[in-house]
Amino acid sequence: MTAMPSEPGTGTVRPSTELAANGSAADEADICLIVEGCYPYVPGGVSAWIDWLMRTQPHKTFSVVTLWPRPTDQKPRYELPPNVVSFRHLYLQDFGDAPVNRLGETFDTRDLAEALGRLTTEGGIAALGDADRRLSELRTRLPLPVMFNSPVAWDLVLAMYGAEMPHGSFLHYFWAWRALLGGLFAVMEFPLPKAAVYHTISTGYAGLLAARCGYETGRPVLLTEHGIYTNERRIELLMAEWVADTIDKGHALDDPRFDLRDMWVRAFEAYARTCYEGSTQVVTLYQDNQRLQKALGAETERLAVIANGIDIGKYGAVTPVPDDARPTMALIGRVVPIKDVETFITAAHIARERVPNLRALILGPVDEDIAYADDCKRHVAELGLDDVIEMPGSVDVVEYLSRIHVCVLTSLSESQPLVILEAGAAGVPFVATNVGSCREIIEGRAGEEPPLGAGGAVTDLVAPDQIADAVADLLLDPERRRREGEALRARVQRYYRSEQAVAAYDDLYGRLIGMPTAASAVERPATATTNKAREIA
Amino acid sequence: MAGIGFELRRLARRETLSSAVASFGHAAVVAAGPWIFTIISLALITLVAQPVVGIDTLSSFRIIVIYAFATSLMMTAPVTIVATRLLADALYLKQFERVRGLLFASYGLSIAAVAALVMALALYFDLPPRAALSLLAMSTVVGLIWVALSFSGAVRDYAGVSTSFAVGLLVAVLGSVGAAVKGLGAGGMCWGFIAGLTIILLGLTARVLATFPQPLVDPRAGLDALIDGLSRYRHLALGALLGTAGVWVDKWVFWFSPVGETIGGGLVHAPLYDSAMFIASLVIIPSLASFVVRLETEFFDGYQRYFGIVQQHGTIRQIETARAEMARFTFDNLVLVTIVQAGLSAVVLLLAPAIVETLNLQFRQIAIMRFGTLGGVFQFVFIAATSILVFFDRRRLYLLLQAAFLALNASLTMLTIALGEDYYGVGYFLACLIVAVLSYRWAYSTFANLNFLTFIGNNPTIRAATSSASAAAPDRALNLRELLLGFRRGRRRGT
Repeated sequence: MTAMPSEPGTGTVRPSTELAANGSAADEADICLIVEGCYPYVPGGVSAWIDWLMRTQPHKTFSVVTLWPRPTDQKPRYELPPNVVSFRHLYLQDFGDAPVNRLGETFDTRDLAEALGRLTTEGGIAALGDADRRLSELRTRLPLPVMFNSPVAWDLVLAMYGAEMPHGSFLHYFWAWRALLGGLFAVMEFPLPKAAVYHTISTGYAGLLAARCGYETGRPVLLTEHGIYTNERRIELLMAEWVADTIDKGHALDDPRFDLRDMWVRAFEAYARTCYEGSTQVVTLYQDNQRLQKALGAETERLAVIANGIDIGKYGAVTPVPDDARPTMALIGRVVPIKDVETFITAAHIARERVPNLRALILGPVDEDIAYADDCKRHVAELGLDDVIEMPGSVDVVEYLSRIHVCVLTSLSESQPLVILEAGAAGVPFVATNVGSCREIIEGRAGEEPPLGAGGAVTDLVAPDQIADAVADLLLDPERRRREGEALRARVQRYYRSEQAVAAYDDLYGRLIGMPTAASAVERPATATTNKAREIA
Repeated sequence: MAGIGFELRRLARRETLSSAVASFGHAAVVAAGPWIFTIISLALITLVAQPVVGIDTLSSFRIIVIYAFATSLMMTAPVTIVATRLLADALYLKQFERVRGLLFASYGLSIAAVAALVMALALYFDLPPRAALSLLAMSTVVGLIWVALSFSGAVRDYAGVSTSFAVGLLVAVLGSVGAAVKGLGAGGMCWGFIAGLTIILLGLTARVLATFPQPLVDPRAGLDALIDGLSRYRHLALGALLGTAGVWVDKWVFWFSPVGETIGGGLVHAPLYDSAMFIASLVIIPSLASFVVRLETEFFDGYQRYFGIVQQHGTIRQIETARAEMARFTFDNLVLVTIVQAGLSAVVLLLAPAIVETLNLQFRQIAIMRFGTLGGVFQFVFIAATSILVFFDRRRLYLLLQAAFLALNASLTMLTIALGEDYYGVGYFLACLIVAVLSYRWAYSTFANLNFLTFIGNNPTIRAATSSASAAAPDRALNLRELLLGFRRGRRRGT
């Protein structure tokens, strides 16, 4: 999955329209891409995919909305392709103008509090529409950035706290509420870019904005999920020690009270539900993801899989490694904890017992997490593997594939690792942990027709014994190794070619662009804020 | 795809609401208190020295003291209030090594500010060099006492303060009376008085230095911090300046009116008005003392309990209970003390003729004293209410009220002079009445909306985040420009 962005620089505020790079923000595009926390500032992963997507659809025009907590001081890593007509930022945090202690009139916030409560706890298009309508009503009397730091916001937070966690820390609730609702208001305030299709690359706030686009314009919404956003946030929250457990829940399972973690997870789930419900089509990279999508309410008939593909031509010419070459296993990837390189090292240590003269390569940059890389090197030395393991750093993968008998992936988390496709295209069998779409690629999807057979083996996570056994089996049996390598190659050629993904999106976009506009649900009244936003635009 | 994750983490660090303000609040009381000391010392000297020296010598001496107290109090007030705030921050952060630097920087700035005003006055009144020198010396020493006093107050060293003042006051009275007895004239009395003041200053300074033995490492750092603080807390600094000027402005208006008289080396005063008002202002000392004590004890406990509950993750119900308790206690107390004060003032009102007779004042000063006494009740309310505003960091309101007091006291006093002698003192009374009502109302609404103010309206984190909007705009433009430049460069390379 994508590298997390480093903490963006502190600075401004507010969602804002910005000048388009190649035109004006008002330019209508065929597709509006909505991305959160990656493109164009974070290299690799989803950003690379977005770059690929726009460049492989040169006859369609794109506008890009990129969501960030606040303005980032990172440099863009991708040049905007020429078919991008507008590029804008939406900042989620620090929403609001300077505090106002008194307002000239009084506002009844009960209905709005209820609507916002429903949107952030249950989600769904009806809840979104209700909140949207009530915010529009309020907006005619009070701009939302003023409202957010005024007594009206105070009434809202009190009402929602009272409804949701009246026994929890108010201080915690308050800040969590501000972050959640500030982001929500930033999304609801953002002037919508005109497009025929709104394509979000995750749920979360990006998905919420896409759902709002679909709801307000009546145009179709497309969601492509690489990882499952809600799941990633849940893991992040579980690992976050800083979220104090504000309620001692003891062992009472039916305790209706909950703490801050629940609030965050519930909000992300509600946003996901809203996005799934508002999407015409929900695409993911591999079937296993659909389980989680369905669990959060995505309808089965809207689900589709479009796998990432690779340019297989590059790998077809790789000469297979001779059987009598030194038996070689390899891990191709960055030396970082999520790849669990230590398990690879341990597996090599175990496999050496069965495979004489074993060589194990770790091919990937070692400078991303230097402390971890040092741990790995220490581990190698402790196990006396200096003559077995080589860590040459970043290398030309195509060139190295002709020296490898078996490729290995020990990752703790992946979505759809391209390295399995690359090895497969070169006919090298693969042993991988059971994460992301590894099983799907190595063993084939459920109901694969005709069945192509296993392209290697799938193991449990952090299971060096299983990995060592699977690798040794392949290294010691040239016939099986060739057979499984060819099976993997056949599968990659059949299902994972870049052209197929390009064609699938070309087809999908064409179909969605051609769809009639649904009766628009809302006419947004012109207000001071939206007019101002238009001027900036 | 996870920008928000970092946001979650940031939030956890955002829990420090204005807790440092807590230790600061009572300094506002210190800032309001000193002018009472002015009255006490003057009264004492007058009582002791009057039988010994003639009325002219005494007047010449007294006017130097009055000028010294007025100029020093006004010119040091901004430095004092800001230094106290910075001191509170340093103590809260346990950065004791900063204290000495801060103290000496405050001394330096105070000397400069006081000297500038005294020299301007000397030139304006064309004072003889001897009188100018004694005024300069006395103003400077008194100014430094105000600074030292606020440092002692902020560390709650009330025993040290009392001892220093008792000894210093004794020496001052003995010195000035002794000089008078020896026939050294007003000038001699001044230097005798200065000797006593110097003892107070040295005593206070020694106590502060003994409390903070950490040596002064970087003298510039203290000065830089203070200058930075003056700009950051400019509302407080300006408010303190205007507030002290407001306490004196009705006297100044009288001095420069036809009622004023020129004596000694050419300085003006208006004994008819001054002495009546000085005596009147003594009447609120008991209430102020009582209020200060309550503020220091029960109120401060309630204040800490409130912010403690907020910080310790109380529910809104617990927070609201603490707020309501604190509000009820504070206003019950304020109303009670005000009623007692009103009763005391009523007694003084009735006894005014007797007081005037006892103190050998003029009969026509009775009315002025009565208005002064009435005004004092409201001035007490004003001081108490503005102290509360400072406690809750409502700095703009504080400034606004002090400015209003200055403007009202000056303009209404001018008006009463124009209206004639029957109205002398009404200006001060009305000014106090108006600002008392305003400040009480704002203190009340501050308490009523305290939860909102604590979390949103007056939350420094939110204020900082929203005020950076304009400041950071250039960054965003730069960011965008870089973005565009980067693309163009990339495109050129590509083609």
